[in-house]
Order: sequence, then C-alpha cells, then structure tokens
Amino acid sequence: MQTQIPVIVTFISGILIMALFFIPREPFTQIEQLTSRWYIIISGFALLLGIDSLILYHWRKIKRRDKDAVYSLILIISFFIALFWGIWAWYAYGGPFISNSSYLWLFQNIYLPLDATMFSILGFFIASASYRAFRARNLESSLLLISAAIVMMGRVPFGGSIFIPFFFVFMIVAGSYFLYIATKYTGFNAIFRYFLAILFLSLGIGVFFYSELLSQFIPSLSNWIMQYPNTAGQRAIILGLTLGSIAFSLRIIFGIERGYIR
Amino acid sequence: MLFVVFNTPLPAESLVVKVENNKVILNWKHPKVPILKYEIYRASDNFSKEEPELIGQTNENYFIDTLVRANVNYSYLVRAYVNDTTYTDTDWSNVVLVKIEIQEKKPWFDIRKLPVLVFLIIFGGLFFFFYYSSRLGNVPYIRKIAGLEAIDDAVGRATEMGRPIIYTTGIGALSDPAIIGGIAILKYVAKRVAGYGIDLIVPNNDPLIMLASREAVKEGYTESGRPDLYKEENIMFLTTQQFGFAAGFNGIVVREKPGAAFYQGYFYAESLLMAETSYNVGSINIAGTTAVTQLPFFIVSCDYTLIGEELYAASAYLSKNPSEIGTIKSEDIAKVLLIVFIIIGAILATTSSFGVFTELKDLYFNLFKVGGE
Repeated sequence: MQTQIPVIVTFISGILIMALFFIPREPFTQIEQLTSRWYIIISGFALLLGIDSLILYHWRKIKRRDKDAVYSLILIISFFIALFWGIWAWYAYGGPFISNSSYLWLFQNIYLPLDATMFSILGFFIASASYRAFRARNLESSLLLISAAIVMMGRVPFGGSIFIPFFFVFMIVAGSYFLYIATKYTGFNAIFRYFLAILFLSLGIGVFFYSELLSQFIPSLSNWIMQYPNTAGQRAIILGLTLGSIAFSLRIIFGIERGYIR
Repeated sequence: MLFVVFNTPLPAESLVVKVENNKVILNWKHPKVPILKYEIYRASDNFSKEEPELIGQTNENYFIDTLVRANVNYSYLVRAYVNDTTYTDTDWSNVVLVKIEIQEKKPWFDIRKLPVLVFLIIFGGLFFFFYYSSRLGNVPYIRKIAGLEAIDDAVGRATEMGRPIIYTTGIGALSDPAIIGGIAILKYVAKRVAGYGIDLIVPNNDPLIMLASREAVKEGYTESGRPDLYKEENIMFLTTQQFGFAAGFNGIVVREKPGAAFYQGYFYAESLLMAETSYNVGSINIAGTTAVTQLPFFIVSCDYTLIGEELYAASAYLSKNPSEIGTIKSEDIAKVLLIVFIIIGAILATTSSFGVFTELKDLYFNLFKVGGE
C-alpha cells in the first residue's frame, strides 16, 4: 500500500497533465497553473522543514563544540538577524524590499556583493579547468585546444588583431621545439620532425604576408565553429535528452521506475 | 486627502488610460525634473476620489492594473514624488469600464499539436513493445556506462581514505526528471556506502528534494541491512539561493574533504564552482546532468560524466531490472527514426534549393510543424 498509493497518484497526475497539453478548452487550461500553485504552497510549508534542518544541523555542531563550530554560530546569528530585520522592515516600512527600507540596504550591501563574489570566482575556476582540459595530450584534446583558442580569439574585442602576433609566436615556438627534438631522432622520425619544424616556421613567418586576411578570417571561423559543429553536437545531445526524458517520464507515470519511492 | 504643496515639480503629464485584455494600462510622460517614484491611485464604486485606493508605485512611466473586476467603473490618478515630502498629481483620468470578454468555445483537441500526439503514440508503442519483450526474456544489450561503473570504485576509494562521500542533485525542483534520476542514483550510492560504514553527506537547495533524498538514503541503508548507520542530519537543507548553495556546499567540501563527490541532477553556473573545489581537495568526481550548457564544465573538472540521457538511463542500468532496461531500447529505435526523418528533410531542403521537389519539401516540413511554427 505504501508504494501503491504514490504510484496511483503519479499515474493519474501524469496522464492528466499530458492530456491537458492537447486540450485548449477552459477550465483545462487552468489546471496546470493550479497544480503549479499547489506545488508552490507545498514548497512553502516544506521550507519550514528545511529551516528546521538547517538550524538543527548547525545547533548540533555548536553543542558538540566541533572544530568549525564558529561558522555554524555565525550562520545561526546571521539567520536570525536577517529574519527579525525582515519582519521589522515589514512593520516599519510596509515591506522588506520597499525603496527606503533598511532591509533593502542589508540586501544590496551585504547579500548582493557576497553573491557577486561567488559568481566572479567562477572566472578563476574556468581558467584552472581550461588549463587541464586544453593540455594537448592526444588528438582529441589537441583539437579541443585549437578550436577553443580560435573561438576565444574570435569572440573577444580585437581578437582578429591579437591572432597575428599570437599565431606568429606559437608557430615559431612550436617550429623551434620540433627543430630541437629532431636532432635527437634518426631516420624517418627525424625527417618527420624536421618537416613539422619547417612547416610551423614557414606558417609563422608567412602570417605577416596575409595578416589582413587572417584578422578577418578568425572571427568568421569562430562563428562557423559555434554555428555548425557546436550546434550539431548540442542538438544531438538535446535530441537524446528529449527522448530519454520522455521514456523516463513514461517509466515513472506507469510505475515501472520506482527508484525514487520506497 | 490629495493636495499640491508649494514649490512642486512639473506634473506627470498626459495620463492615458486604456483597457486591454481585461487589464487597465496607464501611460504618462515623465516630468522634466528627476522623480523619486510615482504612486498610482484608483477611484472606483467603493473608493471615492476624495479617499482613493493606493494600488501601487513605480519608477517607470507606465503601470498595468491587473487587479480589476468586470463591470466596475475605475478612474486613475498618478502622483509624482520629487522627494519623500514633495509631490504633484495629475488630473483624474477618464472613467474606464472593464467588460467581460465572452470567449468563443474552443475545441476539445488542439489540432495544431497533432504531430506531437502522433509521435507520442509511435514512441509509446515502441516503449511498451520493448517493455513486454524484455519481460518475456528478450533483454537488450546495454553498453557499459563508465560513470556508473565507477560508483563502486569511488565508494571503495573513499572508504580506504577514511573520508566521507558528498552527493548533490544540484539546483532544481522535485518535478524535474533530472532530479528524480539523481535521487534514484543516490539510493544506489547509499546502498553501497552503507556496506562500508562511511558517512554520506547530501546538501540540498530545496526542502522537498531534501525530504525525498532522506527517504532514498534511508531506504538504501535499510536495503543494505544497516539502517543503524543512517544519519538524518547528514542530509540537510542549505539554501534556495544559487550561489549561497554553492558557497555552503564548497564550505562542507573544504572542511570534510570527501573522498568522492557525486553531482547527479540539474545544475547551472554553480556546477564548475563545486566540481573544481572537490577536485582541489582530491575527491574523485562523478557527474551527470541534463543541463547541456553545464556539460562542458563537468567534463573538464570531473573524472566521469554521465552525458544527458545517460542520467535518465542510470536507474534502469543500476537496477538491472529487465523490464526497465527494455524501455531504453525504445529510445534508440526512436532516435534512428528521427535521424531518418532529419536526413530526408536535409535532402529535400537541398533539392528544393535547386527547384526540385519544392512542393514535397513544403508538405514534408508542414508535417512536423507544431502550433503553426
């Protein structure tokens, strides 16, 4: 019974919502909105459980005098300051987010900068993650590195102009590297590396002869990568996702998939 | 009640009031002096012009009154404030009446959505065909999914290191299939963790997901025969705010230094913040999401990533239940059908650009249009 009732409720709700998509007639069009409101109301009550969980978790840490209990203490103090300040702002100004409310000051000068700080840290994490991802260890990661470099240069202001010196330095360094290591090999391996060295050095020097053409070419190439290979890849994933999502929903609606309940 | 003080700014000019779609739309011009705010007053059958009703305030030069009743006369006045005490009023607007719009009775079926219904019937047919076929013993082969195979290794590694495991379903609502998929994997992870006796920490950003996670973890521990090891306090709510949640999660990761971190659900910009932090403390990261924009971040920062539909297939894969596995086959067949449709469309689009099969192309493309788009 404990599993049957949720499965029956899920089945009826799922079929109803699916049918509503096809019925444009009143009052059916409003049922979806109505169920969304129910969800919001239930979430509102559930938030009390969430707050209870949060406070109890940190209160236990303080009681046990855990190593990092001071953070828990700060959290509980901040929580109650924000709560009572908000209630008081409601009483004093008619709402916490009214233009002259002091709570709005708290929100704009403490909460928003903290939120923005967390978001801006993302820039550093992207740099460190990109460094790991773009190491040319094999063919795939080399292709990723090259396409990422083109897209990045094509998308930033003056990217086309930056490309010329960047390409020159890269090709000269790469050409010199292959020239250096070619001396350590013999036979075909040496010839192949000499070939690569000459190719890179020639391309590096040749870039100056076609600088104007190349500076326009990079933004176009960047757009092409984003519009075609990237969009194609994303659409393939979205297609699979959509089918997966429908199959998963059918499994849940018909009670085949019960992993989420007891 | 309404009066104009000395030294007032120029009034908010040319108040225009009109009724559209059962709403009253007010427009006026900004005065030539900076305005702190506008207050909108409304007179009706219940509120006289001497004691009007304050219905809202704005900084823009328009206001939409949605809280109107049918067949009631309304008149409006806009008060422009230069500062907290100095203001000026427009004249009262003309009287407007909101009439009930009698809507034409709509049909019982939206014919524009017929292609969706046809696709749903075809897909539903495939789904149930493979479901019953699997139940009769024709269980299809499913390739190994590295991310799911690695769960046991990750749990074992965390046990050897004597560190806890952290698991999050990300940011989303319980109605999101990706979150439900994440909770199903959580139950499997809980089963594995229970066998080794290490802590499983599950921070949540939604209280309803927290409750569902608690149930799943408790069930996992019970199925493993170790309900005594279940710690409810380890499945906690942090905050509904995106970056607040990321900060809280990262705080736990830095303090507890988990041996394995699982990201299975729906994520936004916080994905990389969290995955990089757990990478930096030496966790093995296993991610899975249906958020296409976040997949690249997980791929670069995690050891294993379930891409898109793999997350939906995970619970069937882990349960090893033949009837569940069978339904995955229907996705593959539907995918092949879609690929065929796309190829035919591409050929027709190409040939029609040369003036060949133009009508056929239009007919074919119209077959797939939903809602006239």
